[in-house]
Amino acid sequence: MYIKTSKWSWLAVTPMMIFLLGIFVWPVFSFLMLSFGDSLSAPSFVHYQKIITTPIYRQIIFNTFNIALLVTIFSVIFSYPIVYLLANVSKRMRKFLFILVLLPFWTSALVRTTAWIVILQRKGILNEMLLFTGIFNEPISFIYNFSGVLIGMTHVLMPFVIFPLYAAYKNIDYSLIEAAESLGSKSYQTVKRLIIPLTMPGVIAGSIIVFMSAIGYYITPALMGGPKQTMIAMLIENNINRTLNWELAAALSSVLLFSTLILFIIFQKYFGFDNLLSSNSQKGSSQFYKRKEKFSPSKITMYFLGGLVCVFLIAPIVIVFPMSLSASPFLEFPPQEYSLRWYESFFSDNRWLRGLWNSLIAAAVTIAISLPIGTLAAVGVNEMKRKTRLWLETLFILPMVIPVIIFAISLFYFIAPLRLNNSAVTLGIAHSVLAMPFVFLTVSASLKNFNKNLELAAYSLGASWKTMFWRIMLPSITPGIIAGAIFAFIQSFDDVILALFLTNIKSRTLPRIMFEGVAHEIDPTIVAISGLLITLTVLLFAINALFASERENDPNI
Amino acid sequence: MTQTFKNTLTIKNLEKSFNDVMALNDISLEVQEGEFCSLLGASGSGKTTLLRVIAGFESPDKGSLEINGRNLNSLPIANRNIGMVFQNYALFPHMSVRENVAFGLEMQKLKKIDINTRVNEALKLVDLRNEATRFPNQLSGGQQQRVALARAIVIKPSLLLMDEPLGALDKNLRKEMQAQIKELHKNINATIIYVTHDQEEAMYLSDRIVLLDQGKIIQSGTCKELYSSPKNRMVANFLGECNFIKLEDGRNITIRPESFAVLDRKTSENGIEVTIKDLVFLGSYTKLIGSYNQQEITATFRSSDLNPNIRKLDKVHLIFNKECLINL
Ligand SMILES: Nc1ncnc2c1ncn2[C@@H]1O[C@H](COP(=O)(O)OP(=O)(O)O)[C@@H](O)[C@H]1O
Ligand SMILES: [Mg+2]
Repeated sequence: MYIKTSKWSWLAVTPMMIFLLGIFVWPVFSFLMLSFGDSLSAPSFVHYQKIITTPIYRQIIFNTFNIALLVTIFSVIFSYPIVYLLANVSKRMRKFLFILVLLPFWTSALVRTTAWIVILQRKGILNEMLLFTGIFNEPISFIYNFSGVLIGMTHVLMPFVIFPLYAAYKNIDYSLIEAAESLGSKSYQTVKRLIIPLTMPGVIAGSIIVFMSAIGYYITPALMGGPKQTMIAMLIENNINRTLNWELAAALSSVLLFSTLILFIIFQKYFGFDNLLSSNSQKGSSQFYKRKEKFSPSKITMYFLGGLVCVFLIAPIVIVFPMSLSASPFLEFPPQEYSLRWYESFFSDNRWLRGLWNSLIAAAVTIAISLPIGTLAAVGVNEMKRKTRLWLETLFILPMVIPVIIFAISLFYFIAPLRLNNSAVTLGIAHSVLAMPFVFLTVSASLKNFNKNLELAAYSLGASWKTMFWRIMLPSITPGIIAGAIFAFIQSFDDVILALFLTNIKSRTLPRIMFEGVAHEIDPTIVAISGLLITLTVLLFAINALFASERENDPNI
Repeated sequence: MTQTFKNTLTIKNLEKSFNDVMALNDISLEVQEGEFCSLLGASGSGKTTLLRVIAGFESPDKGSLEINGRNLNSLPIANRNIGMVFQNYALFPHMSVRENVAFGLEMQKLKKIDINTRVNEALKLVDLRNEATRFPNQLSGGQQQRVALARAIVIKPSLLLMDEPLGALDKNLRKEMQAQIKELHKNINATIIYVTHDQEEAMYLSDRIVLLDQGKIIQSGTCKELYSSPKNRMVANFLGECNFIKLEDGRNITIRPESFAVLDRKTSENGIEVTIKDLVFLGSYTKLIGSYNQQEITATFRSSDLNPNIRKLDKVHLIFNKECLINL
């Protein structure tokens, strides 16, 4: 019996292993090898030397780490008030706030960037408001500079700190705080001596992820920063598309990848990646006795700050809707006149519709590939011993970690000679690499919740493994599979970077066309599309929540 | 004499409700300086709530709290100088034993030297000097318990509150810790309010027991008072076992199992004839379970006092002294 399932489990993980090794690991490896020159027997390090000796490259690497560090620090500072808010509000409100926190993360980079530009540009909403209040009499440049990059990146990366920090905060046994108070501790002392040290592990876990993701960022700094905020990923892209220096691009990619992997290994060693997506926390043991606190000045301040952070997170997403309904060809707020003309312009323009069609093809291919393969892998890994499992899990989530730009260029390098690029189907296959880890993680999470005794009960009633899987296991992991499908769809539908390298004017996707638009001048049609995309995201979220809540009511858990 | 009464905790007409549940219902209580007072009661009877109101973690709906005649109601927790030992110990996991114990003194902004001296004293008192640099997760349950104790007493609280502090320990360790707490109480002469649902523990430790039920004080007094003159059946049952017997002549009597003597024939008016249903040998004493007019009777005897020839289903006479009856 046992031997049989273990054979099954290897069979189940094989497709994902082959897929990732063939389409992800091998292309990336081949591309990176370029950095050592033509002959592998006599590797040359000239390109690495060039990186070290050229001041502009050193500057860009320093910039990258500097931006990543600041983004991390801001993410941590802003996370505390919102976590405090999350921990203290009612259950309903908390659910709402969680969605608020996650929305920017699941909104396409282009939609977010578009919205920020609308808000922050010199004639943007924020400047108009500031001028109106009379505090300033000249518009401030928030964007196309350092602050633009910081705002854009902190906005999207904050959830990575918020979730582990919230889990750590909720895990603090409330009686510890009471103990401190009874020993004479004032609230600021309790924060300093208890809350901060006890939440440190969560903060560090989140910080590593933020920093790791930030150093590979491409879209946000490219669209919201200025020339001085060039980051490594942009330099790599520049070397491929402008200077055509593939070897140097490969060397830069190696540097970026190496830094990313080091951080990833540290994180895996101490925290474990699979815990990150789930915000589940055990409750502190004396939750029952948590008293209702009276409103104190410090509490009101924290609530206020938490509210501000919420506004920061949600404002760009909300603002898109009224803007998209403006009749004016210029982006103005509040709109003088409302109309649906920009939505009409989207649906009547062949260029946009073709983009939409290509995006849908790519997304369909992505789901078709990543869903069965990812699900199967999760089921297989679930049966394995801890150690094997850890290795496989690490391989399977690698695509989430490695900067997309490196993968995009590698794949381009790999398949361009075969003339396989420039097709939405190919793009979908590439997107499957990005989407599969999400499917794997969501299904794994629901498998962890699956009551092992149900499986044993099925066997004891004479079911074979196959019958058990179809009749018992699959129905109970369906919510995880649905969540995986949604994540896979979003991964594909929001991607710009792969599309930039793997599509041409005929096969380009919606986000790619938007990117080209945003990089020049924002056409209000883009804002309308952003509105549509946000609506779509919210809808998918709602579907997911629906299935998740059904699961919560399941007595088997 | 008047000096002693200065440090009295006075609770008057305290009330506290949670939603519909009346957790504390008109509680009035006085605890003298140096007294060891136990709150005894079934689970859900409001013991923890009373302790938490005294500590300031909950504010009462009604009533007042005073120490030394000083009203506590509006005093912040941090200024009450009340030591608390939590049921789950609530040790700070990221601080060593020494840091845990020093915490309260640091809050008082004492000098480093003074803190050190007092921490050492406290650790010596609970016999943990060798574990000072360890962290809570490196300690056994009993040791953690002692750290919690040291941390609470080091601030020289005017009142020490303990909420089922031994609840998580196994039986042997519990006995040992009870002895240590009793010793400690003598040494530091602290005023202690101690919550437990274990009547033996309460009797062993306390000068006075306050019996709670559904948020009300049912009876309060020394162990002896509560045992020999319980106010009602519930009290009688809660502290030790008790027989409630309806005699043939219609009288109702209440009697403790150990108040019987056993004879094989009737010698006085005050006796009942029972059929032995079971004899349970429990070491130094033996428990006799018998039936009398379809009522179950429990009696205990020193094993050595019992006639070795009596058997199950024998009929015996249980004789009692009128003075031993409990008046309800
Ligand atoms: N924070 C609270 N919220 C709601 N009900 C509570 C709370 N604390 C206590 N109670 C209720 O008050 C009653 C007394 O509880 P408690 O003081 O914990 O009893 P004990 O410690 O004697 O077991 C119980 O019915 C309990 O359910
Ligand atoms: Mg209790």
